Amino acid sequence: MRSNTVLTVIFAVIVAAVLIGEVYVYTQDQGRYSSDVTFDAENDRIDYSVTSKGSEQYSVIVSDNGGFGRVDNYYIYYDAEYGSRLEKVQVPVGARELTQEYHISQLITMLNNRSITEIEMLNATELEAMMTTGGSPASKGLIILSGAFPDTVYTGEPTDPVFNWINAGGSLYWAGNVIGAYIARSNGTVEEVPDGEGLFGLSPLSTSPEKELSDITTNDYRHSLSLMNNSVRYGVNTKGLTDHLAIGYTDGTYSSSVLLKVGDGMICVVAGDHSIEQRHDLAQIIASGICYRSTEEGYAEGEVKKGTAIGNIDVILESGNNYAVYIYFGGYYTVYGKITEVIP
Amino acid sequence: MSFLSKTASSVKEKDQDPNTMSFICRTAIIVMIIGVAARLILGFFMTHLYDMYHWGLVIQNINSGNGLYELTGFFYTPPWGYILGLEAWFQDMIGITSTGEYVTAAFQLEGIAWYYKPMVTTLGFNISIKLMFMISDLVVGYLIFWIVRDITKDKRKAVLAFALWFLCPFVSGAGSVIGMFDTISVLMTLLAVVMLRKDRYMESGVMLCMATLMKFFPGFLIFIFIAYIISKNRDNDVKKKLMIFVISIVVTALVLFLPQLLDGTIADSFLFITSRLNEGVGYDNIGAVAGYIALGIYALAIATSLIFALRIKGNKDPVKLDGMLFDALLVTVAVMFLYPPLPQYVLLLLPFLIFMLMKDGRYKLPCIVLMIGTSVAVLAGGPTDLVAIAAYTDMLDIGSLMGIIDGYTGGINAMMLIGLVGSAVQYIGILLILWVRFGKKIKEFAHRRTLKETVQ
Repeated sequence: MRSNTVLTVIFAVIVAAVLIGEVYVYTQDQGRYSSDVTFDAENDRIDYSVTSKGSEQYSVIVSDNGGFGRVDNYYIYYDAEYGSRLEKVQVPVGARELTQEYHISQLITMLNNRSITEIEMLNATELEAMMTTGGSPASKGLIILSGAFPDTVYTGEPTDPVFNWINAGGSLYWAGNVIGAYIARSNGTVEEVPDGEGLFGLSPLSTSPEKELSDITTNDYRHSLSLMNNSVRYGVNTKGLTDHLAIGYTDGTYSSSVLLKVGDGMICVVAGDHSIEQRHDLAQIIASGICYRSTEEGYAEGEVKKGTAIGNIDVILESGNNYAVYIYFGGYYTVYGKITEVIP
Repeated sequence: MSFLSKTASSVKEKDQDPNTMSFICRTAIIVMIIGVAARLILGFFMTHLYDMYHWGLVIQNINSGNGLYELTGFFYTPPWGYILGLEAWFQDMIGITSTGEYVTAAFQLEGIAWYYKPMVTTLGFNISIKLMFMISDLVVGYLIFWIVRDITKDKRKAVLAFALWFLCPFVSGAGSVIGMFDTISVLMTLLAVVMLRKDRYMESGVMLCMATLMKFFPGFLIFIFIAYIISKNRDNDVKKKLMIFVISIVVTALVLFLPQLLDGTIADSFLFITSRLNEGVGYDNIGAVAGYIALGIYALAIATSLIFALRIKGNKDPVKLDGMLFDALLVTVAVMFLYPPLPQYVLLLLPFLIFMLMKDGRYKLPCIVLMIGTSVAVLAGGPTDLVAIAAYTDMLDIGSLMGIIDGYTGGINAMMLIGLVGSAVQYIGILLILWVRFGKKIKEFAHRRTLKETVQ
């Protein structure tokens, strides 16, 4: 081949590689993946099928949530006028500076990838309305990433709307800073509440920035949900707590994620700064539908390469209990997730 | 060097029509086999986890339908992301299902620096990414061969130049250990130079634009390219040819940025420039000050590029044009790297240094010093680059490896020390290049001043 032709071929290959890549990048969507779950009561098993247009690993987790019903309406608190105690992390050059708004938008996208699409953003006033006149809190989940509750729902008193809402069945997902330690005001300031976490039934939270920890071994959710956030800063001390589920990592006292029964509702505290790992874990916990009393009844993992894989998990399901079957693709690099509720 | 001289001397062809001198010959094949084997061995055993973790993250974001910028993870302008898109497609084809694992036993890596993570990408994923870099290294080697052959009409020198590139340890290490894509930017830059010399200005513009949007360094060379076109086509439709060159750059940029223009994420693609001024981005206060020094050096590089471009533009002797072009390219890149470059950046400098070395033996010392320094810097990660092999095979016990890493990065921190020594030697290599180029003039200037002061 003459050298001019070789040069033309090299040029054409480079241009084609970049353009094909460009088309590929912007033609992928969530339609690339799908999953389906059915309960075979006769044979006591969960049948599942997973489909991918690419090559992916997948995981299937069956959780027994007992009498705790599925949360299917999600709210995220964000009010630019109110103060916050954002736990920023340092990000690499080229990354966008971490603001509360950006952190929230990233979490919403991650939840959307996991088929959680019913998410409503509430400001301080709307949050108060949702908690006081918004109907039954059961099946509602509230995500707070601001590090401080707005004074419309929390003033440091046990009779505040936030406690009434949780006690009546609401699920609060908290990530970043000490829960209950700050009240956000409409003038952009925050006010400290001494022993705020005590109001939520918690002993003082960890403030250690140390991260060298080990897996929690009393359950296998760390592995089965591919949890990554190994910080216990602002994490819950589970000693002395009843009706709780600690998952992820621990330093022996504090845990990276704890789900705790409060009244008829639940508080989930995901420790650490607002890192990508924290967002991943929060998204996995929410999307998997687990609660403070979840137990893992079955687990399967496998690979699917441009096609469909089917399988089943033998389970003995208790009549009347709520079971959550969560399927996700990609392991630690999660690209898709979907929960299916099974009530035998 | 002596081995390379010997093997190159076995090549018989010389002083023939360059177009008839085939790249394929016994020596080139031996070089290829050794270079490929070195890359495969290095690539299998050693992986710098930080960048590889991010390539996994970018592919995750692409596959989940979030493009390049909707979810955080991709910190460059688009072309590298598009190539990762192609890589994602390739991984689907060959059936790579697992990208990486969070390895509890490797948690202590987080103690090395804030950006280290215990996310360990799988061997299959690593190799599939590194294959791209190996192919790119090989094609860059061919282009180096092509240019040297074209300039010197001497195939022995062309093969020697190819060998210097393809067997250079830091070239192998940048792709196969660090896992950085600078080689692809170098490939595009060299092809832009080749096309420029062949009067194919559309192709040259397309490649220069892509190269610049991969890594912004080649953008500093644009004045030199324009001056070359003017000088070569002074009486031959120069405006039209310049227009073709410029339009091809603009159109390429538009095509590459089209998705971001449509989805409103164009600002995110330039965050690697704009984010440096934001709180919480980058490293620390020293890093922020260094950022401003970098801006100063890059301004100097632009000035250098302009001065050398004016020299080229003023040249009326076509015989001198190639020499001036490569001189300008080498000096501009060397000045640009007066702001101490990361080892992988030096890939852009090496081809131009090799071109000058082929006609001026004085560049031998800077070349050797640069190769030693940068190679040491590339491999400074040492045992930290062995985590993947320990995590996914039985060849190394990960607990023992962590103990070694603890000793290597704790106390006097051998990793940082070796990296610093390597970078210092690398920097001396860059200074030596400029000394070879300007030393005589500096000495003459100093001598004249001394004479003047003595007379006074």
